[in-house]
Amino acid sequence: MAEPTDVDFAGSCVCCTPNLSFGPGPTGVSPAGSDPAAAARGAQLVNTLASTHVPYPTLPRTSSTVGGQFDLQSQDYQLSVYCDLTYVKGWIMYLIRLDALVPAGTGGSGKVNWGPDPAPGATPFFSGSDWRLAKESTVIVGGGACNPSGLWFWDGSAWQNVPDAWQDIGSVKLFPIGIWAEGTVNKAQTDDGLWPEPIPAWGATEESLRSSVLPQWINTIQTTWTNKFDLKRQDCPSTDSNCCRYHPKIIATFTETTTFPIDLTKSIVLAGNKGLRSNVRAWSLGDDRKYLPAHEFGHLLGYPDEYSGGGPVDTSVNEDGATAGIDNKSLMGMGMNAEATAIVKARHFRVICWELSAMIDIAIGGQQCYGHVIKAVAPTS
Amino acid sequence: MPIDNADIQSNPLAGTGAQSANPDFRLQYSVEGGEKHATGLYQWMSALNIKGGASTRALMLVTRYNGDLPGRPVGLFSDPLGPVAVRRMVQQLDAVASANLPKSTGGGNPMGPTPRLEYQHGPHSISGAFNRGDQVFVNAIAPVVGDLIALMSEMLTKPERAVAVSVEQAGSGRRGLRLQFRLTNVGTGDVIVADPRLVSPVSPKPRGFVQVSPWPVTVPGQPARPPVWQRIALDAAPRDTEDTEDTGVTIKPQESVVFQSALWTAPASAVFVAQAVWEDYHGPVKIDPTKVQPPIPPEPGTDDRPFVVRGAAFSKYVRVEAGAA
Repeated sequence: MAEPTDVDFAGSCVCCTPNLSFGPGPTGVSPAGSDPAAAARGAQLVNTLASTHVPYPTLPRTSSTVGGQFDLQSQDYQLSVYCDLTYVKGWIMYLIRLDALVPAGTGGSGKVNWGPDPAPGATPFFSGSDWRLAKESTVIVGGGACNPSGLWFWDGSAWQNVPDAWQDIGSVKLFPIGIWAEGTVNKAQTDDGLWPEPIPAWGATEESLRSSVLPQWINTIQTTWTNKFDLKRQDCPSTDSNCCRYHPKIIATFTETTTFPIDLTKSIVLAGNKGLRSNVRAWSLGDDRKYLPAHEFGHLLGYPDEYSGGGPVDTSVNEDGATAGIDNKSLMGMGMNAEATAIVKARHFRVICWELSAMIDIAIGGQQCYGHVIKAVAPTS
Repeated sequence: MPIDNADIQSNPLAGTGAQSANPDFRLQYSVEGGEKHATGLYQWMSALNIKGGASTRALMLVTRYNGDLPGRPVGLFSDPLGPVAVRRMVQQLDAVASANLPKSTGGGNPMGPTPRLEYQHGPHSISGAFNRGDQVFVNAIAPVVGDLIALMSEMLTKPERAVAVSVEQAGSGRRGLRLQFRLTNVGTGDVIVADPRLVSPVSPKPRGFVQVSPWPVTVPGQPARPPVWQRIALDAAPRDTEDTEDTGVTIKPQESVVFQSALWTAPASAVFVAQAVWEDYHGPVKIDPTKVQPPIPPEPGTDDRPFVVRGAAFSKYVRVEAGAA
């Protein structure tokens, strides 16, 4: 759900309005130029536009030069924003804390180091290094009976039953991780990056699930981001409100790859398990959170998380409901988990505005100086 | 100073509420995660609610267990707190609150569990949602939270209005077999659940079903696949009866309601693992909200109305032997 209000963060045009500050761009790339020559060119361009206005309803497809990982193209003011998310097929497994439920000296711990161990009796709040690999199992080790705990853990050399007494009412002892195979290497989202056994390939069930879920995710991304704002060139002198008014439409795709570059935000582990919790980089095909893909798409546009404890937060953002980069009623913040608060804000079109400004520069034939203030405004339809 | 449950049990006043010297305070500690529903419930939610005073009780709401552990009930759990334990808890919380507590960054984590602590006792207060990135705040309250989680763990054995789901084989014949989906009120007060045979207009997902997966065979050196579940729907509710009205099903304490699965024919004679799954975050559509407790009860121990259980529960696994058609 969007808040279709005209928020005057404006597109960019830092060279023309040097006092207008948005802070650094989301990826650290800002079109802001401190170059006086660029500022002069921008000012000249604006003056030129005022006297000889030229609309640019059609602009060729261009990869973003200002941050984010998207392409932009305009055809008769229909602005297509292309984004491709890559994934490697895998599964959701777990990291588990067993504490005193297993004898001291039990192997397999230390798969991650999340800082100092908690004091005795204190909460192991995703801290410490006493974390072992775990996975679902319907039967006990050896297969002779059903498994009361439903989980196995890896003791460093073999799988063992998680004791029946284990539970995690505080949600602090079980953390989902993605696992996947790259050739013959079995990988996991752990410090050493390794899973201790061959990782099964997907079967027909998982392939079928993917066929039904990915189109839903694509649709969610598109509907969440499309028709929430138009982008309007502020320097357009025309009395026609439709002149220089672009209508962004999101075109998202998911592409399978064979490797998972863990440092890239545009890649995920796509987990074939149904119904398990996801983490930021490993998504379960059964994840119920409707706005998860749309949130991730925001990262592809170059926007950081707007909650603390996730990725880096842009603390310079203090507008449109955000305080020091935190916004609980935003798609990029805590709001992503509820229909009423998964809100796309005007600022979330900032990078697209920058890129559109740059593309108009190129179309004019000049150098990129971002001489066009482009605002996100309420959509016309 | 941990909240010692042994102390709760050994104190002669524990559970009686007979001592009026208990401090007057409010404490709410919750862990929220996953999708937030219109009822205010989260997909995964454990919420502890304690109100001090003459009769101090702890109430805990659980919608779903982290890890979807088999055989665990969800709903309301409650326990009286003895005065010694209460005083210890309040002393500890007051100490944390008055020790120049760093302000929470107002975090939370939409991708993971978000703990939230709200405490008010006279001039002492603690308030904030946090996550593991909020280390300063986490470290400051860690001792308190550790004790609260220990209390919540203990309370899991004290269901007040909670349901557990189970599955059993109902019978088999040449045409296949049926499984029984059973919801049992494991608590001490009436509960209401939506009829699991009816699909909620709010969510297209079935409220109840059973699932089967081939009995896993582990071959050394071979990849072990996670269970490949085949879903079996419950038999539809009879048409043209009040059963289709989605007014809810009341279950008395320690009683069950049972629903049959559709007839299932195994692809081959084999052994399978079966599990019942119940999931409903919305409750019955046609229910008078004034006649039931709110989805998140605001006070422990003051409401005698039935409680509509919402959340997700998973049965223990059951071995099923099926013959092929």
